[in-house]
Amino acid sequence: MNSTRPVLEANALEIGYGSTVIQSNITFSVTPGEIVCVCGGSGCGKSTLMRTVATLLDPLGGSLKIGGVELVGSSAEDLSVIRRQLGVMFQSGALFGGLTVLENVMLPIETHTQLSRSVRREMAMSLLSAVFLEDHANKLPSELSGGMQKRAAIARALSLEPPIVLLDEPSAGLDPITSAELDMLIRRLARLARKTFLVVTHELPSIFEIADRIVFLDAVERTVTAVGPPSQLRENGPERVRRFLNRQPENADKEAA
Amino acid sequence: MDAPVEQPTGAPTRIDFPSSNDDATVNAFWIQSVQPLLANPPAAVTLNLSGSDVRSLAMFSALVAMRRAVEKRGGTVTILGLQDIGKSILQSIERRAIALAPVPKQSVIAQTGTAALAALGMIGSILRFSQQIVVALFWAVRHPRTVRWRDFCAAAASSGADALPVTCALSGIVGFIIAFQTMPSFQKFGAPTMVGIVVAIAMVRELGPLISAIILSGRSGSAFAAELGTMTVTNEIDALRAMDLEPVRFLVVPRVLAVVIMTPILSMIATLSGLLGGYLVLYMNGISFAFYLEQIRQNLAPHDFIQGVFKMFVFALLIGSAGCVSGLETAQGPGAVGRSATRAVVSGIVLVIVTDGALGALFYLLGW
Ligand SMILES: Nc1ncnc2c1ncn2[C@@H]1O[C@H](COP(=O)(O)OP(=O)(O)OP(=O)(O)O)[C@@H](O)[C@H]1O
Ligand SMILES: [Mg+2]
Repeated sequence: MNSTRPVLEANALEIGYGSTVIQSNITFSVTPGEIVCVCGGSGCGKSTLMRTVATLLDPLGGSLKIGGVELVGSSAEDLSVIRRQLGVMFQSGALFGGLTVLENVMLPIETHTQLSRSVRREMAMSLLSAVFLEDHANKLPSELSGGMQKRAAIARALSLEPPIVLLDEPSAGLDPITSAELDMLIRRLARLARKTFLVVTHELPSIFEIADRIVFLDAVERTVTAVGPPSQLRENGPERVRRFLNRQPENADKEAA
Repeated sequence: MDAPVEQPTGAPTRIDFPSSNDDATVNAFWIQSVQPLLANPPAAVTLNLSGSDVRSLAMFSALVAMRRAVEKRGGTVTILGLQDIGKSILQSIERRAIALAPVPKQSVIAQTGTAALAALGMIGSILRFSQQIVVALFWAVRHPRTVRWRDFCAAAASSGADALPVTCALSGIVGFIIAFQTMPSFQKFGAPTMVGIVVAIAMVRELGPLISAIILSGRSGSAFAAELGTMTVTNEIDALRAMDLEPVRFLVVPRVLAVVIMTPILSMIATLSGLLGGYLVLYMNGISFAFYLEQIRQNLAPHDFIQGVFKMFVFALLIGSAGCVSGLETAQGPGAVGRSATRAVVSGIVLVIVTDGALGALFYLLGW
């Protein structure tokens, strides 16, 4: 098998809820080890796209291949195969409130492997130290700050060493230093472990730091998306993409004048 | 402007915005110019803003509202003398207006209908989940290691031991009331000892399980709905699914197992308490405990007790499932968890009483 075969392939993908179409023509592919950032205005459907790729929301049309398996019309077994390749972090964190941080990270390992308790514990602890939370392992999620919950959720998403990692706004609510450290972690995992990342983020510094390419979802047209390296789109992309990447609202030039 | 201008009735075709922004001017302007136009939008209007300050929210709102009203009925609006800042704010508002989809409103009658259907829909939901739940329960029995025993223990403690005092107290009181209310009639026929038989049959076959079921629904059914509903709202259910953990197997099974195992025991104790409550009235009428026991022994067969326990088993299955299912079907937004809890209790009690009737008929036909 060729290692540069795409692990994620969306073709004319249409996403939304029931009869409400949110985005209707998403086409992009991601190769192993690549970091792709999903960006666009608030409400443009970034989380919806993540939920669709995470197999929690049925696509309304088009095709979506994850790890070479087609999601549209997949059987229960296929769905299981797809889910085992994914690590997902939700925008809200979605930690299990009744379990400690450590137990949250251990849960997927516990339910999907036969590893002994001490091994599971060590794995979870090393993940927690990677997100700088080893001192808070035995706290409940409600005892953590918002940014700490996010980081714990990232650790949980990585716990089964999935080849594909989906992160919905990992650095929202983090201070610049922690956010930069998180970027480094993502980069290292992508380069060294050849993990594939699909990351929703609004943070421009983060986008330019980690993204090999971005997928831009347009909040206005809802059918147009731009795909490409961020620096290239900033110079030559469609107008709204350029504005987004340059932090330039419409009319800004007029008012400045 | 070359569009054919249809002469409007009432509203003027040119509106001059006032230059002053004080409250009195704004009120007068609103009554004289804005409201008539909104009530009866003309086919064409010129809004003259020269000299007025659109940074005043009142003026700006008037501009937006009048423009929307006229354009909605297909008319044309000409705006004169709008400052640049106003233009750019207006543009950004328009962009939003396109992006935002309108929210459909429901009439009161439709809302009532929807609510009524929701109660029925719950039965559909349980049926839809029932296959999944039954399969998962059998799986759990064959693979007990996969069950979350921690959740099981918590649910067992709260639906069993914690519910014991209130359930026993209530059925004791009900047993007492039945005896108390039937005693005068039986005394009239000179057969006060018959009261013991009435209490025993009612408590063992019907009321013991029914009272336990209603309390189970209020305590555990609503708690399950709230727990799982909160998990739905905070995306924890989604997180489980994404980890390839089936919420039914992971969350529903331990809870339903707990109530199915615990509450038949609870119901037996509640029945005993009801029998004792009834005896209190007999005691006051000079009937001995030994006689009462002998009466129960002669008039109730073992299958009467088995019938009561079996009923409670079915009720627990229904209430546990109704609670969990309405939790899993929780919508988003504030109040959604509360609505799910209510739905769990109401549909749980309705299901229990309907099933009780059906089982009663079945047992009668079987000659039990
Ligand atoms: N459960 C739902 N049912 C119907 N529509 C929804 C639902 N959730 C979100 N939407 C709609 O889908 C659109 C996209 O939402 P989404 O959460 O994907 O936005 P987003 O791009 O992630 O925004 P943000 O940057 O604010 O997180 C919004 O217009 C929203 O109103
Ligand atoms: Mg989002």
